[in-house]
This record gives sequence, C-alpha cells and structure tokens, in this order.
Amino acid sequence: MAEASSSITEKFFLTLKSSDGDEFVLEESIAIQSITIKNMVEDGCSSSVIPLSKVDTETLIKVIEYMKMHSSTSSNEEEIENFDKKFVSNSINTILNILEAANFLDINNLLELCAEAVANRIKNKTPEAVRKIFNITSDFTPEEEAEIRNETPWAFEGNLDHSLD
Amino acid sequence: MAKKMACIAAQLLLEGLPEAMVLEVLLWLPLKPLYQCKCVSKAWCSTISDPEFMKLHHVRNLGIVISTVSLGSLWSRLLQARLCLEEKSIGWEGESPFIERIDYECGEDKPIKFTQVINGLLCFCTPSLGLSICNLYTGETIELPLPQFYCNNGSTRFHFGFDPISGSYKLLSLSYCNNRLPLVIAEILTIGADMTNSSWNRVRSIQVNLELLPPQSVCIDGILCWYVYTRFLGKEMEVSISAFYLNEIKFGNIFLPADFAATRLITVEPVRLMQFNGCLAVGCLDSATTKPWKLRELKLWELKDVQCSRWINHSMTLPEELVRCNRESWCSFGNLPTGEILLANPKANNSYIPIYSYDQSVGKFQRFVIGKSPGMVSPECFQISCLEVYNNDSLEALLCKPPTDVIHRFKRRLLTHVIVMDSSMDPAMSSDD
Repeated sequence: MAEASSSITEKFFLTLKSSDGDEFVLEESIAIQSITIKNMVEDGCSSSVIPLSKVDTETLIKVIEYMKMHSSTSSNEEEIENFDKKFVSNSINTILNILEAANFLDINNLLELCAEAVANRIKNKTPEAVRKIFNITSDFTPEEEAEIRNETPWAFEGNLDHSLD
Repeated sequence: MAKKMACIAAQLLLEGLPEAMVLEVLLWLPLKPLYQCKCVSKAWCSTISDPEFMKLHHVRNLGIVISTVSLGSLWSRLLQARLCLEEKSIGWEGESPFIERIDYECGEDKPIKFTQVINGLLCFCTPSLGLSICNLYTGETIELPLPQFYCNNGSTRFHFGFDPISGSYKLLSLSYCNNRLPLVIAEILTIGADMTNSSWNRVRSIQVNLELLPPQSVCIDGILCWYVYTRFLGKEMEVSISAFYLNEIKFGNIFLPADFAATRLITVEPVRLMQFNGCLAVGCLDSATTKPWKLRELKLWELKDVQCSRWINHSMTLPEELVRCNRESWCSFGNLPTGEILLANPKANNSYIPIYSYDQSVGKFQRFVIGKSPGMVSPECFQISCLEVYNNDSLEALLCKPPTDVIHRFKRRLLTHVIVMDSSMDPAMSSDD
C-alpha cells in the first residue's frame, strides 16, 4: 500500500486557468508537451495556477484532450490516428482557435496538425471565402487583383468552393 | 472580467491570425491553391512571393524520386526522398531517408526500364509485367499496350514526353531488332485519360541515326532530345542533338551553336541537356581556361528559337560544392514546379547529395540536400526527378493536365523577352550557401 501511495505522490499536478477563468488540473507529465508550460515549470512557476490569458475554456478543453491522447502510454498508433482524424473535423473556427493556442503554448505536433487541417479546408476555396474565414478585408484594387490572377491563370482554373466551412 | 477577455479575443480575431500562423497554414497548401491565395490580401501576396517562404514550401512539399537499376542485381527500385535544408535533417543513422515506391523483380539480366518522370508520371517496362504507366503520387499503374515491333529480349527502349501543343502525353518506342538486319523501328503512342482507343503508330519520317541515340532522353518543350556524340575512325569527334518532335511526330537534328562546337573541341567535360527559361539548353563546365575560379563556370546555350536555330549564351558560376570533387558527375535533373533548374552532384559528398535550384530571373542559387541511397553509383545508373509530395491526384487527373512547370513557362514566355545573364558575375555573389 505504501508503495502504491508513494507512486501516486510522485505525480505532479498543474492547474491551468483559461481566459474565461475556468481552472483545469492536469498531470505535469502531460502538460509539459507544451514548451511554454514546460519552461514555466522549469522556472519554478508550477506551484501556483498557470494563467493562460490567450486560451478560452472551449479551446483549452480541446487542447487538453489532445495532450492527454498524445501522452498516454496506453493509446496505440491507430487510436491516435483516429483521434487526430476526428479532432480536425471540428469547425474551422475551432481549429483556428486551437492553432492559435498551439502556437502560444508551443505544442509543435498540434500546431502542425491544425495548420495542415486548415490548409486542407481552404485549398479548394475561393479567395473571397478564404478572406471571410480569416477575417481579412482585401486591400487590393480590382485591377491589382486581376493582375495577380493574370500572372498565373492556371491556378484559378476549375470550380472552387464558396462555402465557409 | 470574462466580458473584457471576450472583447480582447474578438479584437484578436478581427486582426486575423498572427503572421507566423498564417505562414504555417500556407506552407501546407499545394502549389495551385497557394497561388490562388496570393489575391487574398497584399500581406499574403508578399508572404507567398518571398523566395525564403518558397524555399520552405519546396522543402515541405517537394520530393525527389530516384530510379535505380542496380546492376548485377535482379531488382529495380524507385525511391523517394524529401528535400532538406540542412545535412542534419536528413537522418544520418538508423532510418533510411528514402521511401520505396516501386520495387520490382527483373528478369535475369533484363533490368526494368524507367522513362523520365513528368508530372509525377513515368512509364516502365518489365519482362514479366509488360509496359505500364505509373502515378508516383498514388502508386496507381495502368497497363499500356505493347508496341507492335516490341522486342522481347529487352532491346526496346521507351521515351516519355509531354506535347504542350496538343496537351497530351506521348510515349515513343524504339525497337532495336538486331537479330536480323540492324533495324530500328520507331512507334508512338498517345496516352490520354481514355486509353481504350489508343494504339501505337509507326513513325515513318526518320532523319537521324536511331542506333546512336543514348538510352535516356530528356523531354523539353515538346521535344524529346538526345545528346549524341560519335567518333568515327580517323575522324574528329562529332556532337549533335537528335530530336523527336512530339507534335509533328518526326525526328530531326538540332544544330549546336558554332561556339559550342568550338568549346567542345578543347574540353572533355560532360554535356547536359536541360530546360532553362522553358527552353532547351545545353550546358557544360568551362575547362577551357586556366583561371582557377573559372573552373566553376557553367556555360549554357539556350535555344531561344527552334525554327531559326537561335542560341543565347549564358554563363553562371556554380556553387563550389557542386564542383569541389568529382566535377564530371554534376548533373541537371529537371526543374522545380516553379520552373527553376535543378543541379546536383551525386558524388560531391559521401553522405548526402547537394542540390541547387537556380532562379534565372534573380540569378540566385538555393541549396537543398537529399540523403544518399546505397544504390546510387553514377548518373548513368539512376535518374532523379522532382515531384510534389502531397499530391493525390488520380492517374486520369494527371493525364488530363500539363506539368506545372509547362504552364509556368508558357506564361513566362509571353511576359519576358530575352534575359541575358551577366557573364561577368562575381563568383562570391552567386553562391548562396
């Protein structure tokens, strides 16, 4: 019994606080997949709550789900693959939020997964749809835009998707 | 508090994603949607047009296919490697940097014959499986009919090309029927998405000596080209380019420029055919001079006009790495999808192959490396070609569209006049390593 309890006490836990003020308790070994958190732990900030002012609750839940799946020793490659597939089927806005969080938390695998997912979603979309998804207003005059289209007409051939998701 | 945070979040979203993340996303886009994204905004356009960005994009999206026919073994292999920026990212020990794409057993002493790779397509012929066209992206293969005069003893050679005028892929077969009379029969097959109606047609008009053609051809601008050199007893060596015009379905000769012939008399350097500025070009290292730094000079003759046989002379200083050792094994192997020529020296280093792309519009080299496979012996035994890694187009889709660099080149030809490069380029300025 004593041995079992000592192995439990060896596990360190961290508390992550989202921008909405919600707190999540997570094993340190899982959380340090984030280089940002790892650095904080190494600098000795782990005793208190770690505030993640740039990550909202909804996004943080997703990120923690991802970190748990990718650190647990029990999940096999196939399980992880299926999880990732399902993970990227979230709405594009959710993925953009996760991408931002992954960048801030410095979780390279998650960043790549989300960036690839976003690229897959936008690769058949019209420039107009891409602008809407990324909240960008075009700063081109119609003439300038026509010129870019003229430079590589082959890139604009074929049917493109106008939808936003 | 929560309200304030939500406000800041909304603000952040309005400003769009930070540039670093936009970059991450753009790096994952294939070439076509990437070019579409140029007209999203000025910021995106300038990101995508940045050569440093394109270099990263090439590394993420391009691979090199190497076909080797290991002499003395019964296997032919097709290997794919990723372009890397630094030697240390190749993966020195343990895992091979190569993915095996095709690995076929050959008949005894009859190795598989691979053609040049164009747009991720290549044709290969095996004694047991016959003739097939393969989509290197998906591994899909379609069997092609054998030419009428196909020689079962392995003496039929195939040359694969794209004809931009008709917009179709074509395969030329040369059957060397030496057992009776020394006779070579040429046949041509158009490979379209619909293969049901295609059949081989005999090529009647032959003005070149087919027996002299080297086994490998290069298809440039709708012309299959062979660099031929002949030495008759008691005569000086003669050099020429034999050509097969895919659109007109006829053979011909391309006359080399007079000053090229003169240079060749005093140099023993190997000559390479390549696509430069979208045109056929002949290149050889300059060894005619005694100035040591001149040894890195690549002389290039670009065929600006096939009809008038108008050649333009360029010279560029190669990065030292390409010619440091085994300078005779430098090679050119096609172009990036964006048109830049690719130069490599498979023997320059024992543990990796340096590859340089050359952007003729700015006169700059970019360096990549790929890992080395044990099967690579000499450029004669293998060929390398460049392709997009994340393409998953079907074979039919590939057959319906021209190679990307062809589309680029058509545009470029309309836009640019003749750009003659500065031949007095400072060697220190040109290498980008």
